[in-house]
Amino acid sequence: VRQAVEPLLVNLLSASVYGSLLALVSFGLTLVFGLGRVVNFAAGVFYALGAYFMLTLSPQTGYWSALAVAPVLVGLIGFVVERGVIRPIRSRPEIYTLLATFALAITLTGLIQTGWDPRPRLVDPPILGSFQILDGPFPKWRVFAAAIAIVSVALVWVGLYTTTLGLRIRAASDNRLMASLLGLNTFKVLTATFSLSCGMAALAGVLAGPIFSVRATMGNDLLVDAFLAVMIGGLGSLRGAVVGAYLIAMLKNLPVGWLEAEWASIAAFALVVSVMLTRPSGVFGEGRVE
Amino acid sequence: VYSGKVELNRRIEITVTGDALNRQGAQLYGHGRHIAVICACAALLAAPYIGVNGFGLFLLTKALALALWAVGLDLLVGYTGLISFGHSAWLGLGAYAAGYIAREYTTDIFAALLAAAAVVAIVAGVAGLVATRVSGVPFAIVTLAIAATVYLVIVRLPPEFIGGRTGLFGVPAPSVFGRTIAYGNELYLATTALTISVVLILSYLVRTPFGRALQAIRDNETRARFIGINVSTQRWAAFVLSAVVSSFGGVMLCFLQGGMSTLEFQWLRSADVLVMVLLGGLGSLYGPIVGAIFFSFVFTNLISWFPREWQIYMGLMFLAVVLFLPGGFAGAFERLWGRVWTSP
Repeated sequence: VRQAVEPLLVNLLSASVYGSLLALVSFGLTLVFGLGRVVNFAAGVFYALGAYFMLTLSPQTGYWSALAVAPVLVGLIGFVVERGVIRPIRSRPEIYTLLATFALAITLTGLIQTGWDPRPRLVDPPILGSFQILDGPFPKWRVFAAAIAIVSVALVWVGLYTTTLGLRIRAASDNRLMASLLGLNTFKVLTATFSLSCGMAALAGVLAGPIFSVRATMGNDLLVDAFLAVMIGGLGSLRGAVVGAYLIAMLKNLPVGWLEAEWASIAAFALVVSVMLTRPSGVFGEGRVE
Repeated sequence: VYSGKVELNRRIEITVTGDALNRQGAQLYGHGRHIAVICACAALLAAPYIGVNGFGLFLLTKALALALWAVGLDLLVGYTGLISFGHSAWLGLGAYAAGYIAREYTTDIFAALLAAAAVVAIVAGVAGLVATRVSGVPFAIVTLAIAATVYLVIVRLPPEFIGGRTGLFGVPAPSVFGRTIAYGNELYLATTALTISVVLILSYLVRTPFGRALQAIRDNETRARFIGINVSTQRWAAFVLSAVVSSFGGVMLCFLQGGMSTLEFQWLRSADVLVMVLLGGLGSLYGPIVGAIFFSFVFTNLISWFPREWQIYMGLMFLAVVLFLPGGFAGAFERLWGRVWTSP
């Protein structure tokens, strides 16, 4: 029994860790989509960018300062991107934002590969050691990273309901026209939300750096998973993004050891397609921030 | 009062002259188009005899095969308004079906095309039932899922059957009516002829009621429903047709390279074909050909000039097209062409 339970338990833990990181990214994606119908395909690169800033900053300032600074830097980049790339094409169909951010993702990947050493890098976690799970070890850092990710998502979520910016975001996602008629500058709100979501993706990258290897393309698979998660939950739904993230993470991590990774991916895709068919707007989807 | 009348008269006169010129221009514009199409086709067919050879010819052949892939996607994106992120699947399936037939049974090119069309029509027919029930961003994600599934299944197929993880190799040169098509000029001519005929057939098809219905759905789905168009059936038909046309690109690519590696239809490659269509111009059938040629040559040169930072330039170019040139090269060309013929 023990031999059967142990791998399952470890897989469950890994799934929770991955799910928490994924939730950080998919939460930002769904927030931006619900607010401005912006599909951000560059989130994966912002995630990688966060990890690379951490790589550069942590030898000078230490990991913990990098954890605070890197998301802010990426958030600033997100600000510039929203102003320069997203805003000019807001009047076009939403699919253009997907194409523009995708082009941006290619460019930024190239910049990362030029600016930093293109070889994959392994980083030591700031908290060493591991917990004992039955007989096997489980790195402590993974648990801490997951905890930080969950707390960050929770903070943003609470912030949406307690701060003025949160109120503005909810107002603008609920009814953009009405919000702007009442004197709210919805453009500014979108800019702020977009940089917030980029910062969240970067934070996930900083946390993931010591867990997975740091590569320029580290965000590609994560981006697809994050979008699958958002599709399951419903584009624009906050609850959906978090639930979807854990669902996808479970589907991909639980079968490790029994099933090959390809079949797990196919299962995840099949889940998304079946949700799309029965509820095209997702399980919790209403197309706006609840 | 009097001077005002004169001015009014003059303005009317000017309008009439302008109108007459425009009508004349429109006629010239139409004739000019046909002449331009014939010239472009002739130039393409003559390319091997006017100095394109060696690696350049290989690249051009590849570009024209990729153009079929792109034209198929354009039928879906530009004419039906569905953005597919999964067209890599049809390139791969077409190449595998044709390559397998050619390696094991007959090298006849028509048999290969037929096999690819049949396999892709079946798979896309089933997948289309699922995919065409949604549109917009969900459609993009569902097609991505389909492409990933097709890729993962092909990779998992037993190696002794077809390829496995490395890909399908050892495909012989194709033949037509029992005569082998030699690599180089002959294969180039065959590819070009196929591409041109497919585009000509499609340019007729988009003017038929079926093609008009697709464009109506693209422009306004609700209105299309109101005038009695069966939106889901037409979308499904467009999806399958688009997949079959794209698969022909895979067939020619497979013959040109003597096979296909799994990397070439890895699901992220769907983005490449989307770039080709966007560069060339959505909703114009010759645009994707230009896009594919441009993409192949620029891509190859960028990698050899800037082995490290080519992605930056590639991404910036793509970004510039999305931001400033929504109609792609074809859109810019049409504007210029219209101005040339209609301005007095």
